[in-house]
Amino acid sequence: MEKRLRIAAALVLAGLLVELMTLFWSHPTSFLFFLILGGSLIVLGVLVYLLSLLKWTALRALDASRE
Amino acid sequence: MGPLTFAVTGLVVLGAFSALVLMTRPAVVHVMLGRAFAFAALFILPLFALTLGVADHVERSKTTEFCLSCHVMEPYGKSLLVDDRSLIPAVHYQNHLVPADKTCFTCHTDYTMYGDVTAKLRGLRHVYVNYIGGAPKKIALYTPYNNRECLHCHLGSRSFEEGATHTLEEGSMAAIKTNRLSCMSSGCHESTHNVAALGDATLWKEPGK
Repeated sequence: MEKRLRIAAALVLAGLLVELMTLFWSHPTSFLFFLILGGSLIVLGVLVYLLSLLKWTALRALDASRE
Repeated sequence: MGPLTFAVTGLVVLGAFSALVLMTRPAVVHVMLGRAFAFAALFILPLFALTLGVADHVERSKTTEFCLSCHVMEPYGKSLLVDDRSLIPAVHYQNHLVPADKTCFTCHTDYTMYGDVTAKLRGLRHVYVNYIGGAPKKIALYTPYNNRECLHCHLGSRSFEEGATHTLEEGSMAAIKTNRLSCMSSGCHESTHNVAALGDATLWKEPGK
């Protein structure tokens, strides 16, 4: 789980940094960067995190059934 | 920096810091509080920052500075400064008859239920055309300018309702209000962005710019 969390955090961090840069740039291109690059990285990070949560929950349920 | 940009910046910095903590110390999730922190840092904060970011970008895309940041729009920005009282955009901009910081958007949005959304979708199309297809030599509106956009402000105002030319012929006022007679008709207010004649025009120097 820790490895997936690390990946998710890195993706979210990268997406937020892209968002931060575009916040101080008033140009149509900045909106595209924000939405396409920043948005994709953030959404991907959140999805990786949710996936790791699901896997972790499934593993815990498996352990509990074994006990 | 506007209050929304300030709030988004704060949220993004907080989210980035939290993500950095999780990236360097993922073991915090072995305790209950750490799991709650991870949920906030990797789900709530980023999605909230993204949503507010979209709102901030959309709000910023309404500014005159934003519209004129594209090279293709430069002559239109210049036409706002022409020293000629017959030019509708110049008179509106120079006398602050429309908010100076949202000049383009005020006149070029549709005053309908989804007008702002439509205007922004058109904006995305403009970006696409500008980068992929190349801007056309002659820029034109998609549809004829609707009187509704003028009447959004002018309807009920004394100068419009009692204007001699508006009431000169019987039925002309009704025709204007129902968009059957365009405000931009020949002999009325047909002088808009006269970009072709900008070379000979005298420009007004904005104070402080």
